[in-house]
Amino acid sequence: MSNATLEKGINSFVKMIDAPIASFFSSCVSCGMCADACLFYQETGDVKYTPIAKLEPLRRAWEQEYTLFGRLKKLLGLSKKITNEELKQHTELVYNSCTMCARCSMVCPVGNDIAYMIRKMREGMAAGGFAPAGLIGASNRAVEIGSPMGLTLHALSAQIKHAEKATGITINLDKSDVEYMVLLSSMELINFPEYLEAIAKIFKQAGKTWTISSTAFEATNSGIQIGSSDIARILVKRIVDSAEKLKVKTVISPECGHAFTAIRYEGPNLIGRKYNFEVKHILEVLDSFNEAGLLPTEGLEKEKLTFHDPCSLARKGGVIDEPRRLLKKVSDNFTEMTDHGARNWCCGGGGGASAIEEGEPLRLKAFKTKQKQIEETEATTLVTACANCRIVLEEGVEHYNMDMPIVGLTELLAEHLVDKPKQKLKKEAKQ
Amino acid sequence: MKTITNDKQFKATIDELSSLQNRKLATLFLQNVMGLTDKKKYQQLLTLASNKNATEQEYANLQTAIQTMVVETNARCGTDTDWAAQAEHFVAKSALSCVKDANRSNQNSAYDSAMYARMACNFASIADGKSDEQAETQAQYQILIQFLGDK
Ligand code: SF4
Ligand code: SF4
Repeated sequence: MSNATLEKGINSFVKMIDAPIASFFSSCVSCGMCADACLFYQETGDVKYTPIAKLEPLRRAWEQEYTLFGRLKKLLGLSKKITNEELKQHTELVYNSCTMCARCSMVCPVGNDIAYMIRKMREGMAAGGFAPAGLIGASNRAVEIGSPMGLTLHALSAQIKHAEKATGITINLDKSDVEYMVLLSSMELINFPEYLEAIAKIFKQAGKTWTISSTAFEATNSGIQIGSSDIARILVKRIVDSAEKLKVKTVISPECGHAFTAIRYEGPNLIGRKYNFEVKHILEVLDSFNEAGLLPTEGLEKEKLTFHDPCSLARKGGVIDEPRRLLKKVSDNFTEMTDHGARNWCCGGGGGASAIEEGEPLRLKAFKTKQKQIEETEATTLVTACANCRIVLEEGVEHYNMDMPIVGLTELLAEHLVDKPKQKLKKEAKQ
Repeated sequence: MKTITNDKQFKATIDELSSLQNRKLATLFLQNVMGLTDKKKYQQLLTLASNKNATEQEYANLQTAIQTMVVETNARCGTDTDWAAQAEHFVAKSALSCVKDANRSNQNSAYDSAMYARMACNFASIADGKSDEQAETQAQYQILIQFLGDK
C-alpha cells in the first residue's frame, strides 16, 4: 500500500467525521455496555472485537484533527500515527467481525449510533483500498451486471420460467401501471427460488398486480455493505428510475434485511430527494393483505416454531409485530427466543460479513450465541425472513449438529394458502 | 394404467402415498438427475435405498452427511455464482428429501425431491443451455406412473 493511498484513506476518515461522529467520541463514557451487546466480543472475549476498539483509527483521526489537545499532540509529534499495518488489521475488525447489526447502538446509554460510525469507517477503509476482496468483487458485479452474484437477465428469465411452470401463473417483466414492483435478492433466486413461486401464488390469491423490472430486479446494495456511497447511490437510483418509469405505487423489498433499510431509509438521502412511490418490506405487504382478508390460510404447522428476527428488519427497520401476526396464522405452537424483536442477536453474517470467506471461523464462533438461543426454545423449526440469515443459520446449524430445518416466512405462508376464488374472499373480508 | 399429465395430478397422486413409498419414489427422482453431479457422492444413499431392511438410524446417519453437502454447496452472499455447482446443490437438496426422517410431520419427500430435481435442471440449463426442465417434468410423470404400476 503506497503512502498516497494511506493518505487517501486517512483523509477520507477525516472527511467522514460529521457532527454525530464528533459528538459520539466526545460523549462516550466508556461504560462498556456496547461491548456486552456485541456477539463477536461476547463469544470470543477478545477486547479487539469490542465496538469501540473497532473504531480506534477513526477515533484517533477525530482526536488529531478536531480536538485542541489532539492537535497540540500532533504538532509536537506525540500522537500515534495511523499506519498501513493498522488499517490492514482493521479490515478484519470493521468487516469480518462487524455485521452492522446495531445491537451496540441500541444499548448505548448516551445514544451513540456505533453501527453508523462503523459504516462511516468502512467508507474510509474502502476509499483507502482496505476493503475485503469478496466485497470488492460483489460491488463490481452489482454495478456492471446488476447483481452481486452475477445473476444476469438470462438467469432471471430462467428462474421466472421455472416459477411460472411450477405455479401455472404468468409473471410479468416490466409491466407498467401495476400496483407493486417486486425486488428480489440474488441470494433468494439462487438458493431459494421457491420464494418467487410463493410471491406469485400469494399475489394471485390477493388479486394484486405486480411486476419485476428487467433493469432493476436486484434489491441488495453492495455499496452499503462495502461502505461506498457512490456505489450505493448508483444501485438505489437504478431502482428509483425503474419504479418511476413503470409508475408503480409500491416497491417491495424481499426477504433480505439490509436491502430493506438501504432502499427505504438510506435511499432518499443517497439520491437527495423523496421517492414518488412507497417502499415496503414483503412482510409489511403480507400483513396488510392479511388485515384486508386477502391472505386466507388453512391448517397449522405441526412442528414447534421459533423466529429469527433479521437485525436490519427488526432492530433497524421496526418490522417486529408483522412476522408474529403472520406466524400466528399458521402456528399455535410458536415460541420466542429470550432476546427477540429489537433485542435479537445477529446470525453473525449480516452487513456483508457472510461474503468474506476468510471470516468463516469467526462467524461460526459467534454463532454460538444464536445456537444457545435456539436450543433454549426447544423449537423444531426455525423461521426467518432474510435469505442471507437463512444461509448463515444453515451453516451454523450444520456446524453444531443441530437438527433444525430453516424456512422462509413468505414460503411458509404460501404453503398454507387457501385456493379460493377472489369474489368469495372479498365477501368474507367485508363480513 | 393411471395417466398423469400435469402437476396437480402429480402432487395429488403423491399425497396419497405412505411416507415409506414417498422415500422410495424420492430416490427414483433423484436417480434421474444423477447426470448433473458426481454419482459417487450418492452411492451410499443408493445402496441404502435398495436395502429393504435399512433402519431409520441408518437414514439419520446419512442425513447428516447429505446435509453437509447441501450446506457446503450453498451459494454464499456476494460470490460469483457457478451455475453448474448450483445445479449440484439442488441435486443434494433432492437427496436430502430422500433421507429425511419418515416419521417426522410435514414430510412430502417425493414431491420435494421432484421439485429440487427440476430446479437442478433449471440451473444446469443456465450453465450449459442444454438441460431441459420440461423434459425432466415429463420424465417424472413417467417415473410416477411406473412406480404405481410396480407397487
Ligand atoms: S454493529 Fe453489531 S457486530 Fe458491529 S460492533 Fe455493533 S454489536 Fe458488534
Ligand atoms: S455503550 Fe456508548 S457510552 Fe458506553 S462505551 Fe459504548 S459507546 Fe461508549
